[in-house]
Amino acid sequence: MDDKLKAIEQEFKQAISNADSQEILENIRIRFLGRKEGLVTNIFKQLGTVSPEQKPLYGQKINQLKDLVTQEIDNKAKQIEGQIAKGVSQKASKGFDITLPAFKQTIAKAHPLTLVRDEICSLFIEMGFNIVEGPEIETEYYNFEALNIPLEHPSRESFDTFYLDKKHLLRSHTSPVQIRYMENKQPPIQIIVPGKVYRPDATDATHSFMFHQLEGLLIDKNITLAHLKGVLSVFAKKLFGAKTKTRFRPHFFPFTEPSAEMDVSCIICGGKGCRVCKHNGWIEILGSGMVHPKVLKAGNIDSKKFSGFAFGMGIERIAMLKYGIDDIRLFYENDLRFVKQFSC
Amino acid sequence: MKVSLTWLEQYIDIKIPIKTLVDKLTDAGLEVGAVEKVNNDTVFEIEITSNRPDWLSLLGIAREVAAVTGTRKIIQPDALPQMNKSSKQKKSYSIEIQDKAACPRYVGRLIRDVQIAPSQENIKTYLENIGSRLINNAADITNYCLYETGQPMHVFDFDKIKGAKIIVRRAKKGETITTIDGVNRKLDESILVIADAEKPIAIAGIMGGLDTEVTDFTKNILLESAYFDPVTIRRGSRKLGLSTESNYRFERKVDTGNIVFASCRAAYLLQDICKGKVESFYLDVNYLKDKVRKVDIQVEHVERLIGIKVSTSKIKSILLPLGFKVANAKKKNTLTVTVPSFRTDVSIEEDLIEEIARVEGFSSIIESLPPIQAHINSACTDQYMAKTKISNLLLGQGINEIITLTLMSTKNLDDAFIPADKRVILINPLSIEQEALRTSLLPSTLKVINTNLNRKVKDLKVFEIGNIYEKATNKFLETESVAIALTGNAYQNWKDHNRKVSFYDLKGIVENVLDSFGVDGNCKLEAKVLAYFDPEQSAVITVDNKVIAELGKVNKKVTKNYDISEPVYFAQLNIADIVSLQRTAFRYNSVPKYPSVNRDIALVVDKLISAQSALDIIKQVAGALAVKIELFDLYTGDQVPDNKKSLAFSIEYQSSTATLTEEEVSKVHNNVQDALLSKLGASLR
Repeated sequence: MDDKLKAIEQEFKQAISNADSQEILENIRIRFLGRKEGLVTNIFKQLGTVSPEQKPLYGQKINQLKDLVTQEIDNKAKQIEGQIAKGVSQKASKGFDITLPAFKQTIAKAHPLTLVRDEICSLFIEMGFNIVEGPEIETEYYNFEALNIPLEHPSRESFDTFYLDKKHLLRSHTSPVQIRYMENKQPPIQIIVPGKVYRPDATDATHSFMFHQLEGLLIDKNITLAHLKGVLSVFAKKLFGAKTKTRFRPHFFPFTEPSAEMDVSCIICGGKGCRVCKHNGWIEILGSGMVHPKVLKAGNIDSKKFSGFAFGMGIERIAMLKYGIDDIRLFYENDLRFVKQFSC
Repeated sequence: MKVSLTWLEQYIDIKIPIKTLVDKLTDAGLEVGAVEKVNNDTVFEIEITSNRPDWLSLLGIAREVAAVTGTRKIIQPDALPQMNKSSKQKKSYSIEIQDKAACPRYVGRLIRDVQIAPSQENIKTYLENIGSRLINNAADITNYCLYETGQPMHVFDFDKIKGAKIIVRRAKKGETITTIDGVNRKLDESILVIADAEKPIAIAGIMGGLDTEVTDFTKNILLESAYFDPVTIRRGSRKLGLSTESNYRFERKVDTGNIVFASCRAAYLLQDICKGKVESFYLDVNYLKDKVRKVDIQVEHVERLIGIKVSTSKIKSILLPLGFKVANAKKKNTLTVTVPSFRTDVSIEEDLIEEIARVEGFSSIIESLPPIQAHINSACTDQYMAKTKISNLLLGQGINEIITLTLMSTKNLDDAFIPADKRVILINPLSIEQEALRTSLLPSTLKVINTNLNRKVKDLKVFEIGNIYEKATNKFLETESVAIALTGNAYQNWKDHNRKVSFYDLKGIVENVLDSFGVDGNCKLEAKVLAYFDPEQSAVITVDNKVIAELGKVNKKVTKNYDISEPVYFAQLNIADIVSLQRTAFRYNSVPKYPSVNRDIALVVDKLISAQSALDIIKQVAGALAVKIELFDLYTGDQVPDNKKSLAFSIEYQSSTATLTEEEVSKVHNNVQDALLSKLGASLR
């Protein structure tokens, strides 16, 4: 009996010293204290084989062993828990370090102008618009005449243009695509047009001879200025947040009548007035208006039956507002430390 | 335009706070920018759109203030009466208009015995507050009237006009004039001038001449008030590179109904301030046929366009203060509106509806969303979708997106060895640095690589999606393309490092793009020497002999031109081609039921034999049984002769109809082996 007790105690000490996880410890508990087959449990059953006078002695010895095993397992359990709490690997002894950097092909980042363009596009797609595109190399007809911008009119001044030859130019806005699309389609028309545009402006922190615009056009029966306001206000709230307020100011564009510029409540100060909004609480975001009857006519659409609205915005401008970028040239310089910052 | 508030108050009694006025003007389309305090005065900067030349005057702005603030009356400034111009008096000068199209109306008026001196206090302060330069009392009066009435006028020293003759004509080639700013200017037939009997004495509508300028010694003044053709003035101003407050207004059309009044107003001030004696008649040479413009407006059309109902009486009360006359038309619910001469922008019903919306306030229009229309249009075109897909695929492979400027110098193109034919050059570039549209995405990509490497940003993997442009016969082409460029180390981590990117990294990325559109099967990679690539590593991908992509190691001389000292790998793919070749219909293959067997083979072949030729032989001999053929090793070195290399392939054999026996596999594999040895002159390793 003494030998058996000694053997159990030795096996236990060996096992407990190697235990380094809760799982192993649980196995040890079952092996020694398990209700059915535990070594210590079983030895109690063998108490009947010893002589009656030795029974109290061995009863005490077995109980001492049971106490020892229970105590040691508890101690070990606390020790392991402590290690887990401290973040030390349960197998730290083998030196596997889960904190080493991952093996991964880092997913790259889209250009901030792409992110903003895609965000704006998806907001309009949700409202039923379709994306279409058109050529950057245009003719005077599509860039000017069809859009009711006569030759030699001062309104062309804001549309100064790069020419490739007498007929061809680099479009100064995305609006020519309106005409190209209308020529082939009858209403309902509901499109947005992202793309590059060109104006001979000297480059500085806020001007670039190439930049990106996004144009929209919606034509159907009974479309009014109220719908223009509705769609563009929803857009502003989706892009800048539900609390964004909008303001529409009368303006002049040759291709719309009436025309309006849309301001949003300053996205920095919320309208209280700050440096970004020049202390008036509003920031101009886009130009818009009801499509001019002459433009509809150029697109073979009967202005007596149909009406519609159009709008246009600069993607760089919105990206600069959204991310607080103060120099437009950063977009085209493509320092990867700049480009890689943006993820939404 | 700068507007002095105290000056404006000469014409209208403004009873509302400045802040309210600013908001009301802005809401009505006169966007007020900066508001400044200048010498006890408030000066607004108002942005005036090019369709509203009538707002380029204080009287015009006062009219607008009256409309948006209620019915307050305009205070008309004092002027001489508009006298009967026909007079029996002997005329002391003459006016002859030679170009009636360019100058359809010219009003001249003589004022004698003026006293020229600095301007009196009120005119001086007003002009100073808006930053206008002071000259003398006579010249200042014309400037004062320009801001007040919107009509630019000019005063000549009458005694210096040779022959007492005003001739409005085109300049002759070779003629010159020294303008009042002291600059001697060359003139030609495109420029309209005011001349005397001998020579030009003013550039019409733009700037007066120095010789006939009113000075302290001037006794008699000839006052000019005219209408000049906007296009002629604009062209002249552009040609001379000279822009003034005067031509700014003529280009936008001055009010034809205001020419005589402005003259009467200036004459009144010249009499009052310069103590001149105004001749009791004036000359008015008038070829203008000013038609009265009438526009009908249907009341229900207002709601149809702006979405709110506006009553007939409301329409009247909006249009009247703006200077329109409104009468009921014969047609029911229709008004006939007579447009005042200063509203050159109003010609159709929509223009009037805008006036109504503007004065009513855009804020009074309640927002609503258009009714939903189910339609069959796609959210975007196939090509747009393809671009998004390519972009996502490349981003997922760790390649960053860049967007570069499409205009560059021809040197940028030359430096990248881009062929000189088909280039698109601007005829009016801002500078030679941006005179050419890119015919390849390579130059701007190299510039980005150079910028980053200079700033110690290394191991670059970038792509750009954008157009390249070329000149064809009688037209220009733009081709949407994707460029991919790699430099430095490949994907690395703390265990695997310092592997440089190679042609094969680039090839893998290009293949991934093509695979994702299902065009891989038809593609052929062909060696083709392109000027901007290293001749050894220069290739194109063709489908039915059409090049859809090019890829290679950028020629060392090119990278050197761009100050880049490490190898750059560059590919450019045509997106429209990929879209047109993409697999549209697909049926699945059943998953193999029977096990496959792998066999390896290692060959020693001549160095010049391509891996592809071995692959082709294996495919041809093993046919459908070889389901996968992989090159798993390429060896050159001590174990093989100098001019040889070893290629090792792993071939997976599998049948779709039965389990292959050992004999069957060995038979086909031996055939493969024999074919490789005989056709490639290879030996087994």
